[in-house]
Amino acid sequence: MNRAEKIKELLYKTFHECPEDTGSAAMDERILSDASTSMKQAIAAYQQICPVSKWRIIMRTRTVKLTTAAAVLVAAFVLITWDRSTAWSFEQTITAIKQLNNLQIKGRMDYWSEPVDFNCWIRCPDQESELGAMRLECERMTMVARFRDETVYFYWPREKVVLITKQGSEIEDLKFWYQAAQMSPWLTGKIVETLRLFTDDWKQTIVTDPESGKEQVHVTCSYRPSNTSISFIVDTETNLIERGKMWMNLQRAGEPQFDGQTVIYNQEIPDDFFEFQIPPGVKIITQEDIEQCRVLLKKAEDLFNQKKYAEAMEAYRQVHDKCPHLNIAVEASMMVGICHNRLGEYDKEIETYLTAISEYSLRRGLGWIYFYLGHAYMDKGQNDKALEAFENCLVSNEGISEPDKFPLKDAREYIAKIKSQ
Amino acid sequence: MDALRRIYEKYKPDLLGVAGALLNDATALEDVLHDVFVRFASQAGCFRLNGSLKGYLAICVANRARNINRSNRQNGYETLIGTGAKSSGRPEPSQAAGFTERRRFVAGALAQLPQEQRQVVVLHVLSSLRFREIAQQTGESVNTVQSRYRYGITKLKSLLNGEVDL
Repeated sequence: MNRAEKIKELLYKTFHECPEDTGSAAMDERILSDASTSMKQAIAAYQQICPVSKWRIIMRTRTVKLTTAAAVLVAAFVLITWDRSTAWSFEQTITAIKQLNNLQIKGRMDYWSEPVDFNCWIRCPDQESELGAMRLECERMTMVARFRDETVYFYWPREKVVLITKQGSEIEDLKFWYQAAQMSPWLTGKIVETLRLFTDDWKQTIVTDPESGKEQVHVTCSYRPSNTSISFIVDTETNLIERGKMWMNLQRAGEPQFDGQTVIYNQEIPDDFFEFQIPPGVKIITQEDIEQCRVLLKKAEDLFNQKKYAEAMEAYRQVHDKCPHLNIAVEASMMVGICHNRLGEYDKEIETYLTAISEYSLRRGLGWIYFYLGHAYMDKGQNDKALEAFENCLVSNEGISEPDKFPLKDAREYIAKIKSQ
Repeated sequence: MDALRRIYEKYKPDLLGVAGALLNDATALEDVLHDVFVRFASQAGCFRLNGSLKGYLAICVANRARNINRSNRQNGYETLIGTGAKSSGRPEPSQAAGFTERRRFVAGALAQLPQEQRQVVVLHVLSSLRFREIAQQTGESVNTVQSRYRYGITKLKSLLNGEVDL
């Protein structure tokens, strides 16, 4: 051992192995009590987001949310091994990661409220280079992610659009999953560790599969801030996950957002399988385009807040026209309609909402537009159309908005009001 | 809140080690840990992490320790470095006497390093943070961080020479 190494060892022994003061129980309680209070206040403050902002968050992150949901579950597929005695053995998990080269998951997932079959391949990260890759294919979308440089390619064959972006750059509502995924390298044991740390209702049960007679472990957990719950089944012989599901609710109710039904481990996958070839003739949207849209959107919001509605409307239009395939454009379209309303152009307002609904008919989360459409119809005395719009609001935002908040709460009240007339 | 407790329990020993090595006033250990965790908890809902949670918390502890050192210097108040005196005033166990003596020398030597070098050495050695992580969290270049580490270790060699068994 050279002298530099001896210095390191000396420091480690002095301050790490024998810290001067390991703290008292009273210290722990004081810190945890104050931190808990601080956390409660922060969460309460975070939940006071105004409806439009929240809507924007959800809409803007819809695609990324899907990807992240997949990624978290995939991470669980890749990483979990089982220590039968108690809970996790992180060292065993790391060992298991090193033994896996790749895996393929087949199953069903929710894509804009429509269940679709998917096929997902993952190349596990190399511990040295932190390089992993993922390819997700379903009928309406292909997503290829490379984790070393965090680049993600989204390809929508129907719209002939390729979006090149950084993964998970706007996952406010899934921030803790995102945080987990961000712990470099992505898809390493750290994500499992984080899941274990951040979920409060972790439950594991050993059962015998009635069909195979094999012992399995069923795990469930959920995370309230992101309104997400997960279940998965581990084969205790292989220590690998056999199946897994993720719901966008805490009760694991209804159809899961992501349902991994079959997993194949360590098959032959060519290296170039995870390279994305941009198809000819497609429109390419880059991160720079997205940033420009955000700057424009901010400008539009400022103008709107200054009650310069005509100028705001023009800025919102530019946002939509620049990146019509992004979620941000849906919001911009809605705001154009609201600007018309503020300018007293009520027919144009309705026309704008109807155009936006038609343009983005395949997407869920249009409830806010339906709500403003219903309101516009009510103002014109067209209650039948208003009723239909409010009911569409309920359908479109079910499971997306909280039922006792805007716009679902308000839509229900207006429906009751119209029906009582 | 259960999650917060688990995070606290998991990282507390490491963070105490980092704080102990960086603070000139050993009585401020609890305050450093308190401030860092309360601040961490207050970011629930808007927290974004680049890198590891352990690294993030270690950097927070280092920054807080630096601020306390600076504040104490400005106030003309600084306790004796590494005397091993505890805030509780309870007597030292006799078997710890050798350790306390060693700690006094090592802490004294660390305190003579420039703050930036001391921070890099402690984070790299005690928290096992890679130079790249330290650079990312502190906003310095990797080369700068590596240089500080190299200079810091060289100076420590010279300061500790003969005082402890190397």
